[in-house]
Amino acid sequence: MATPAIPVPGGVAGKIYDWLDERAGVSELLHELLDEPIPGGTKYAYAFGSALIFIFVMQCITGVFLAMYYVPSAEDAHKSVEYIMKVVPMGAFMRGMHHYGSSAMVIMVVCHILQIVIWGAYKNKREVLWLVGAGLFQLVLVFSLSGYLLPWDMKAYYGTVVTVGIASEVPVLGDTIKRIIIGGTTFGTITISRFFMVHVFLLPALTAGGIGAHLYLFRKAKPAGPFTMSEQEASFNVEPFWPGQVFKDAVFSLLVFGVMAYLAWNIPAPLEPKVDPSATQYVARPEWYFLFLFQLLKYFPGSTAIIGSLIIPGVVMTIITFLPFIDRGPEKHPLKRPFVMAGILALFAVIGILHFAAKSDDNKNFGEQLKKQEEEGRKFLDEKFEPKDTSVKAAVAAEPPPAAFAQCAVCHGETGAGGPAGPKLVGVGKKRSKEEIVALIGNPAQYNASKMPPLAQVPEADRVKIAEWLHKLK
Amino acid sequence: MSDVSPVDQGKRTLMSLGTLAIGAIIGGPMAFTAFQFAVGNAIKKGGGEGGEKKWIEIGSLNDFPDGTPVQKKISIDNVDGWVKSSSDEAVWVVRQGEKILTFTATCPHLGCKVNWVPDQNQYFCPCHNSYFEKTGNKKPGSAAARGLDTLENQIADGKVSVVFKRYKGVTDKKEEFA
Repeated sequence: MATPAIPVPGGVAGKIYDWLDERAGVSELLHELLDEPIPGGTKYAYAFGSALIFIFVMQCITGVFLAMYYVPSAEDAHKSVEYIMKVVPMGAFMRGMHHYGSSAMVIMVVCHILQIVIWGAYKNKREVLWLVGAGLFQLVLVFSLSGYLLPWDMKAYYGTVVTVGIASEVPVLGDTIKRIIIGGTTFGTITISRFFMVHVFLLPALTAGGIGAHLYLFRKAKPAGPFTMSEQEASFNVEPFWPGQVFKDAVFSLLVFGVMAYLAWNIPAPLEPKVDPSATQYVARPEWYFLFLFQLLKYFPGSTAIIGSLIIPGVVMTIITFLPFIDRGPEKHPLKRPFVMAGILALFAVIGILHFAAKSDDNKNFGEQLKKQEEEGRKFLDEKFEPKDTSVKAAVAAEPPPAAFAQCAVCHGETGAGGPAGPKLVGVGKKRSKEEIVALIGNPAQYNASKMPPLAQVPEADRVKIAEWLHKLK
Repeated sequence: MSDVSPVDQGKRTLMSLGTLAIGAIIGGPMAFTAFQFAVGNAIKKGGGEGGEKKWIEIGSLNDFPDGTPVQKKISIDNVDGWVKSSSDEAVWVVRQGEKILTFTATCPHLGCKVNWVPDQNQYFCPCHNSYFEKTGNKKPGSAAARGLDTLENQIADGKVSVVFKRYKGVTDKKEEFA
């Protein structure tokens, strides 16, 4: 039995189709998948769920390819991401798609939830369907948090330090939770490796299973239809899923794809310099969609911190998760459910206010530093790619510092690797020219290094030797 | 669902084709991206060192006994993705009076390493049984299609240096793999 949904080809192609159909039951499967009746007709409003599956598939594809070069170790993670961005053909675009895909996922999951809430589509025996959906929502957030660390750049490091810090506020178990997440007491290869495992194996498997369960339950419960009619009325006015709804879903997914591709092509996904746990100047900020949570923390100082970091978000998440058990009436129309609608509006108003409060606080207090960080990130991406040198020659070339460096070593360490009072000098050669270093030694304040005492007594010839040696430091 | 009107049927066909077209619009660029990302750099020819020759010193002429192949390990600098590293490679060195013959130890068949067997006075590749004379020429009955690949060498101030290269296998033509 061929379904009219799919135009059945004639001739040889038709015979091959028939042959396959008899053995694999293709028609039956397609009928089951595509001819599902949509109560009340097809609508663009229903496209968010499909768009989520589309983005999830895109994230899987781009993620699998990124894993082709990415190495989850403190030693190599950052360099391999830099390699993807600068050397691999289409690498910046591939990573851009994955980066913006994560934002798209969060936006779309919120749109999807909003549509379901406004339509009252969680009612009438759809509690389990909603619960699985709520679980998927939380998986999306964990995806985002775990992926944030993997590039092992400044924002990855500090963002994760804060997130893990919040997790450690859990009473009694906090310390243990923190150790489990980090894989010990210091952030490093073990941390990256377990975040990688969670992000790349565990979460995709859970999400794929969750999506399967969500779709099965959705089919079982049947679509709720428009809120303007009862489910019985809607069932008299159906349209099949294929091709009407599939087409609308495809158009919407194309729009999402277009926006993602435009951003990925024109604004490269950010990558800052490698983790430097000694950078006290660095202002850490989470991804934009967590900014409101970050702001919330500021209002609960000291021992009350847990209220902002865990209790309030936890209560809100619990209410969202159990919404179908709270809003139990049969009424679907949003205007006749004022409490739920008011709650949604209030929630978004609070999120919006917190978001903009965070923005304006930052502009006022850290505007310059944040701009500087952004610029440093851009500058880093513009720099030519330098492979990490582990060759025999590099080991030989690491010559000892000149005698005059002894004066610098007091603060910066004997090998320039950093000491108790001064930052490391490795990499300084990339930022400052030899002439600049020579001049800086005599007058640090003029070169934005006012913490360093001026060493005017060091003769010019020695300064040149020091500058030349610093430029050889890798 | 046989009660679909011709007008509706036309609309349905249009939407089906539209869906397929959208699939192609998204799939095309993504397929290109994936292909370039995965193999773009790998299939780029001449991606190796290129340019000037890198002479690697392997010892004094007098270190090599006349007429007996000696294996020398040399250290090659590679750019391996994002890492510049050194790896060891073996070369065979045969002194013939004031001249020197140098071969890579890589079998020109499928790339195993060949060893010198003094008892049989020949190089032997244990993978698919290839035999080479002391001078590198292929012996009859070998799986390899050509003799051992010679490496360019020079003797200056009594010191021997070679230029290390990798060659394609299988065929009887010696071609650099770079």
